[in-house]
Amino acid sequence: MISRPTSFVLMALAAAAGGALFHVSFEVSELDDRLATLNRDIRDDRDAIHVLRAEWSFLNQPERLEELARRHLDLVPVSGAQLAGPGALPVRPDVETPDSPARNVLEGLGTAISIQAGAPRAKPDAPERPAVEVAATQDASAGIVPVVASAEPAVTGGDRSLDDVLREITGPGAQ
Amino acid sequence: MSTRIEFESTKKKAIDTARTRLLIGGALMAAAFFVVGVRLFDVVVFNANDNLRRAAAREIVRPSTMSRADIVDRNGTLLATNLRTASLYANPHKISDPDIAAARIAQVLPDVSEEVLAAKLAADKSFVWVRRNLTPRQKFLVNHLGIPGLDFQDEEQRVYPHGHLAAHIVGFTNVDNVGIAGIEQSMDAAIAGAKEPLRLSVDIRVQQILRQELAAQIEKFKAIGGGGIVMDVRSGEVVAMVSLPDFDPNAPAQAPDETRFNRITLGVYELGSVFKIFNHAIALETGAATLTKRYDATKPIRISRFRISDFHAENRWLTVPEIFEHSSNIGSAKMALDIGTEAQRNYLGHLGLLRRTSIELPEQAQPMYPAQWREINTMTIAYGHGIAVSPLHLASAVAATVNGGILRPATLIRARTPETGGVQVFSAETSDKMRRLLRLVVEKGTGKNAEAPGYLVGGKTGTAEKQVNGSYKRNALISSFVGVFPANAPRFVVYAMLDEPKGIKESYGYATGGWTAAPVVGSVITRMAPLFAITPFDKEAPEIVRALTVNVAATPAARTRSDATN
Repeated sequence: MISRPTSFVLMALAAAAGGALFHVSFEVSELDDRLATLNRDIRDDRDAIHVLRAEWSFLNQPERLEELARRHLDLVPVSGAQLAGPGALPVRPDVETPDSPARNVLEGLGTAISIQAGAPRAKPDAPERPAVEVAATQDASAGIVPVVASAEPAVTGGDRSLDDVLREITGPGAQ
Repeated sequence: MSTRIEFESTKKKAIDTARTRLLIGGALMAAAFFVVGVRLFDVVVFNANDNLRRAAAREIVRPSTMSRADIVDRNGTLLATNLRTASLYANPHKISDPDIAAARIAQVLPDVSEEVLAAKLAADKSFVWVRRNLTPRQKFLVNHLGIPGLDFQDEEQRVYPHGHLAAHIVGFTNVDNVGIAGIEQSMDAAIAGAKEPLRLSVDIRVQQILRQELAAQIEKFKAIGGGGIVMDVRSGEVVAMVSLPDFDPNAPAQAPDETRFNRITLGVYELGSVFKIFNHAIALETGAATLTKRYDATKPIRISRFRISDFHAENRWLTVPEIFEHSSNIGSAKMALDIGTEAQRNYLGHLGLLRRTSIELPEQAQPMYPAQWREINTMTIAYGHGIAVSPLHLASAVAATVNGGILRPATLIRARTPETGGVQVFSAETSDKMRRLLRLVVEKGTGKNAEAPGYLVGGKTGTAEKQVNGSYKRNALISSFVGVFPANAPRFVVYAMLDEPKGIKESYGYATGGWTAAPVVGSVITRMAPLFAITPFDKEAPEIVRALTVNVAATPAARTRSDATN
């Protein structure tokens, strides 16, 4: 027959197994609930992202951006006369140290210009690009050196900060 | 004693019986536990991988459930998307006071008529729609009312954030989210149920530039409509395509029918002198004419009941480049006779001008051309009359003429491997000559208004009278201009067309392509070139001059020969 201590050990094991089973089972159902909640949240967030993306695209209508840029920025569309390749830049006197930032930028542009001009401007994965024409001036990867137009003096709002401008654009009066 | 023994034996027997029964019971239990044990072992050890696989296959995070994929432009700007909306319905049986409920709903949903709604809510039904597709804010407001008996049904709605801007390209869907126009229809199978957005070749910024410039010119010349297209000459990708008047794809049913008509792909027109591009290219390619050959354009040609005359008449002998520069119909018709009917038809066929294009749009037209191609047809087709094609056909064929002679099918889908394949229609040499001729027109000829400083525009004007009931109407014109830039190494074809422009004081009463459409092309090029990082050229630079000068300095021998042929 089974000895007394052995049966105690077995009983203890059985009790532990039962306890563990219940624990796991409760944990699973709890996790299931959490999963359902998370899934619901994910769905809601995805829908919200969808709505926001649509709204972002709506707000980025080129016509609207053009109007906003006209009203709030001292920028005008880039004209052909403002563009030049690095080759058109005059030779600068060698006053700066060889590894000055300006020099690095120029060297960077030198490599950028060798990329064919037909290369797609936007990264394929970039989901949204503000479709404003003035954005082209900031796109150094396109191999273009924007030359600041000296013919177009900054007329107004020289003391406005970016925050002020943003507030005006997003404020209720802008729409 | 015996009784005791007997007693003992009886007792023993009972114990034996009990022990046997217990043994059987115990064996049964042991067997059952054994089976359970084996099964447990089987599940945990032998099928372990199977279980893991089953657990992994279970969808933990449910994928997005939108029924249609997005459509984006070449830079990823959203052009069409599905939004989940809530549609409000009511159970009239549960609504205690229809009038009050209707009044309160009408307050937050102003486009719902209070009277109609009150009648609906008073009906003896258990389901009525109150309003479909509410915005999230409207849903919140309705929930805030706290009226029992109202509930929402989740639905999806197709939304076009850019509205009018790409209406003819993207198209629209019906209420069941099935594409019934434009890309939405032609690519319906690829869009429905797909997860990845469909990327078009269109650039919404160029689209806006083209639409704005066209609209301004239509307004200025009181035209009844217009159209334009920007095409990448190397890949055949359509970067912009505008047809005006246009419509809002978010509410297509409210748009008048004519606004849904795509002039660029569905309209076929006799496009006039822009066809001289092909006439010249074919003549140079077949050797029917050389750049130094001269033709007599002193007087109009009379053939049967027709009379071919020049609009910008020079009334003298013209060289082949001069015929192009001054857009001489007489010279072109004579060149066409040298080409011959057969060769002309073959080459126009190779250029895709006699069949439908392969663009991914259901709104497409078959070109119209004479069933019997006679000599008179050859002569009129030389300057773009007697053949009607869509502007898309024209842009595609012009792209083939200037890109080195290779025709690549027009497409609206962002190509994964552009600039490969295609059919060689003209030799690279002919293409080079045509680029010089096109540049000549803008520099000195009828297309001066299309010049965009620095971008070396080349192009050709076209002014055609519209046919109404079989006869040409003098004051109903299709005025167009097709431009390419930069002319030394073309990147884009830009085409603009105005339908029935009226002459104004500023244009000295003219409504020709050079006055109406050419400025559109010029401004579009000026505005779009920086977006594609096209650096301006110095037109005086020696290599540019070398690449774009038309070599007309004829050797005396050549001159004598060409004179003799005429």
